[in-house]
Amino acid sequence: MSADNGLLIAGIHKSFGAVPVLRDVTLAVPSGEFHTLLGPSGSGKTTLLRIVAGFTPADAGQVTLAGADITDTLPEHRNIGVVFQNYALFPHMTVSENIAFGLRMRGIARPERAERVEAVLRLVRMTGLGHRRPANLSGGQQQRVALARALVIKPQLLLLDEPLSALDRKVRQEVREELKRIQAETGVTTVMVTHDQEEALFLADRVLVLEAGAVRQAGAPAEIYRNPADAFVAGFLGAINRLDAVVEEGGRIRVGKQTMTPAGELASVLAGAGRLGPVALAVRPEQMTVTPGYGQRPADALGGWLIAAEFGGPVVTVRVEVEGQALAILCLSPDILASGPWTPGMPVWVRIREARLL
Amino acid sequence: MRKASRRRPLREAEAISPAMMVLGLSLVILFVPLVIIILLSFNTSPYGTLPFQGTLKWYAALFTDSGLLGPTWLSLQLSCLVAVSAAVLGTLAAIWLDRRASRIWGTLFRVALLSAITVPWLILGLAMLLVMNAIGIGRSLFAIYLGLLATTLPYVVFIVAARLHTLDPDLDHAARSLGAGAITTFLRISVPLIIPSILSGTLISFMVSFNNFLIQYFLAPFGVQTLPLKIYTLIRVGYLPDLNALGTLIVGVTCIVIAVLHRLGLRHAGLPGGSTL
Repeated sequence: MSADNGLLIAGIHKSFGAVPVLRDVTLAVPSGEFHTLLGPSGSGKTTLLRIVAGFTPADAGQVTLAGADITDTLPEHRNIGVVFQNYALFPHMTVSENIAFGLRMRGIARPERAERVEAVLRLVRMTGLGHRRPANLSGGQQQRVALARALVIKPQLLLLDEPLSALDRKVRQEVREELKRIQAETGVTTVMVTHDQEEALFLADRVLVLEAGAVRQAGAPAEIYRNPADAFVAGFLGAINRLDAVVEEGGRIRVGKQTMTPAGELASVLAGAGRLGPVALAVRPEQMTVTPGYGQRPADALGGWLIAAEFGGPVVTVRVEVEGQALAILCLSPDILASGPWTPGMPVWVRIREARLL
Repeated sequence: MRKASRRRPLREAEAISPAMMVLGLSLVILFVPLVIIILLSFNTSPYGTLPFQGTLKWYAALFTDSGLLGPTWLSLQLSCLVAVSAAVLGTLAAIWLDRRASRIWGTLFRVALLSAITVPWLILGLAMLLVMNAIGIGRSLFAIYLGLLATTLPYVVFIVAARLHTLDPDLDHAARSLGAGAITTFLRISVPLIIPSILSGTLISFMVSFNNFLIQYFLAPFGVQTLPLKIYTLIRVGYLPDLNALGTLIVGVTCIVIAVLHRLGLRHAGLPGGSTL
């Protein structure tokens, strides 16, 4: 992985007073990639972004962009485009003036300025709205202007600070797709900060999970989703069930009084781990299936009771109890509707397709 | 829901009506004397007696031999100087207060400024006289200038600092990341956004220093008469309606200035006569 044209952050430390905010954070963003910093509030992700942008000095460590050490460079000399959480559009300027600001600061002549503003307005699909004031735009439109303003200076790096959090759900999905398209079209190296795991997984080539100022795990979205390094990452990336079980000889699992022989992925996970005795299984809701539990219990299933079936449109969350442990199982609604009726208290069979040993 | 929300404003209006009456009464007390002065400035009788006979002779007298023009001119010059100084220094102080001051120094500074507003001008004027004498400036025009500046500065600082406080610090960050240096960012981003507040503070400073009789009374050297001091002398010896003419002109000019500022869109800047007052 070469990052000579991208961003390198090495050994960053930062404290506010006696409180450490970042501890020895190191990461590399190769040129053209889209990385997200994912973490709960207070994890230090925004501080890291501000250090990269040059708004806050780091206590120790080094920031390198395109081969140049910019650790002590003033923000105006870094050539980094920043999109802020609340957009920070200049309220006394029109959309065009906002976008042209960075070009004016670079001494670019008026005709070229107008041309580039037009081009970037087209890129973010805001053609014809250049004369408006930010106050007369919707949240989604302001977001696009902020993005255009950051992109028009052809930055070597684009930083996005929770860019979608101020938008309502429907607009957020729309802008999210736009963001992915625009990043792909411009090929700009991008780092986005977010606390929304769905956003991070959807947008990024690589996700960095931060907690309490330290990197907990870094990797491709599917990789860290399926193989979380620890319980924190597992829980933060999405809902997860914890099932206490005992691994026995012959690849069998005992939960309470029931013993089952898992099939498929879980069997190879168990064989690979080579552990015997008590374990905790981390199982995502979509890694299990559930069927009505009448007749003889199959060898690859656990028996339990239905607590509730919660209809959520395309998916149904089925809550069951297995040997005193509550599990949430996510199913596609046509599957559930076809195999119903489902009444609370009825017996069910639960099959585990995939899990991680914690 | 809809029914309730339609009825609420009505009930609020009813609840307000005694307050509205008090407000109306205050406005009457405020405006009736103004109207009387304006009317009397056009009346022939020097003693304010009726019947009303229209004339402009008091305006003519004002500009020929009233002795009022000199003090008015002095007051205007002095107040302009004070207002501009207060605007510049007050804005700088507000920036320091909002961006740079530590918690302790910021609080001390605020308390000091607040005391300049809350301590009665009578006491403030006396204290200033003592200080001016002690440091050798004594009663002089410069002493008046300093005294008025000290009394008007807090208005500018508080108005501008309040506005600065509402500005998103990310506006500065955005400008910096787009390539603007610290000074350019201040001039292109911060100043345009706080200019209405600076103007508003300047206007208030002008009016406070133009009107401030007590500070001027304590600090004026013998023989120097600002307008408030001149008026004070006149009402002790008896005055002619040319003073009414001057009052009418001042009211007129004030109204025009506020109307112009309103037209300039400074309605929301905390301006006297703006929507916030």
